[in-house]
Amino acid sequence: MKSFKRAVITGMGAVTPAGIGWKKTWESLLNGRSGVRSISQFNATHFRTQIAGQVAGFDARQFISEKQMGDTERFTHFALAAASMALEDSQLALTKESPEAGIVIGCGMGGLPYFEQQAEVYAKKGPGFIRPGSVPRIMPNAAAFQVASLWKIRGPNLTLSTACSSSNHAVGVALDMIRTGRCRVVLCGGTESLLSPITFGAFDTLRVMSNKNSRPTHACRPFDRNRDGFVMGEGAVIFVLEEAGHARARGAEIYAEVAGYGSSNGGYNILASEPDGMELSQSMETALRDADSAPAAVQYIHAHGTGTLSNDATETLAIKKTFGAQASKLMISSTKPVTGHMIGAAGALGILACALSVKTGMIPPTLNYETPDPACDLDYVPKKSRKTRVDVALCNAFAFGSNNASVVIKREV
Amino acid sequence: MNQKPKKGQPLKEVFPTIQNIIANQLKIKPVEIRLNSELQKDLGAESLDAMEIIMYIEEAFDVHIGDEEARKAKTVEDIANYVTKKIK
Repeated sequence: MKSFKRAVITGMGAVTPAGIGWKKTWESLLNGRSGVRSISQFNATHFRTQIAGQVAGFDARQFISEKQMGDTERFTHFALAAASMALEDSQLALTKESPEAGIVIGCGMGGLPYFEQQAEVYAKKGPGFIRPGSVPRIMPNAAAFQVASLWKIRGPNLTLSTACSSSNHAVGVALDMIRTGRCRVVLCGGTESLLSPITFGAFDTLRVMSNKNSRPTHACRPFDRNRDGFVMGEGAVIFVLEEAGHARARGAEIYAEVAGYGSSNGGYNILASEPDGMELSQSMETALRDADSAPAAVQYIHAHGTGTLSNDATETLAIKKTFGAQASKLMISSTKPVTGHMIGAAGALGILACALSVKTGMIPPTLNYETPDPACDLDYVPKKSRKTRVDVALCNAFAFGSNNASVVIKREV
Repeated sequence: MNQKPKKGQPLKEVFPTIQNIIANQLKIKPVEIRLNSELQKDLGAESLDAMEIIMYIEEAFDVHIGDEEARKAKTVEDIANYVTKKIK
């Protein structure tokens, strides 16, 4: 049941392996400048996969105090920096809004790297030496708390943790908060930073990541026949989502409307979606219905497109189920070769790409797509960005745990 | 870390180490910390900061500060007194 309230994006902040700030990130996505490198945050020499998309040149002190930085973990630093940039971008006087403003941040695994450090302390010294500050550093909702604390935001404050789809759900739930009138402004998006040996190693032994270690920028190859897995990334993308009338009344620049949100799960396999594409198709269909958009209205899909064998084939099948004959006319791309898979922030990066495709008429390409795969036979916008008008875009995010989410982005009218 | 103080040493011997620990936790300058400074009221420590500071001090001086003592420690001097009493 929908109300008549609509939600628009009026501010964006990004800290990604493609750049600090949405403009630098967007330029890298369009130009295929990949931030995937050999891992420098820990010694990955003995791991099967030794590469990741890493945020470079980031100094949290540009955004937060030394004290707040010292008390928090990298995933929180990213969220604070992205929120800071989004608020500045929106030119919103948040002090007036803060009693009613909300926060919904997606985060898959929180501060597990700090947990690893404390596990080592425990092993070496015993239980009495585990830092008392561990819990508020590690919990996935630490980032959302710190955002609320910094700007004195006093409305709802949620953290959604559904692995790789966390931030699509976060933006979807934020949309619902605006629609129902619960909030006029919601800071929403996602954050993640998991580049530490045990957490990364757990993905490594799952054999879901690419081991093309000698060519990091070529490793992630969504929809390409020679794809061999995803590449881990890190970062945060945060939006200022605002009730449309409120945004217009203050003369805000509007990037795009968040027009619909759909979700599904298959209950099939905790690590893979149903191979017939049904559960993924259901996610897209419910989002389109929620947005009152016919499939034929969509021009662009930011695919989940991880570069794993199964995801890309199943996502292709699901797109065909959802769009029928229209599927072959769609432009579909995945920006994960540029940033790596930002897990809890992955969906938000896709929504950013959709919003900017609507705003600028540019479609970011799928870098590294070279060799067609019979199981992936749609238009993946290979290698080079494309200029075209986009009125309706769809962002997919699918996750371990079968938590699929799709978000519809529309040109604001 | 400074040279480990011995039992019975006056407060001024343990104070520099305590000062550095507090400064590092609160990201303030050591000179801002005096013996009569109250951790929360004067130095802006939150309850979690106080717990971290107590634990760093336990590690630095190899002493145990009990829960009751930790709760009662308001000033830097309170902590320094516990330390001088407990150093083995």
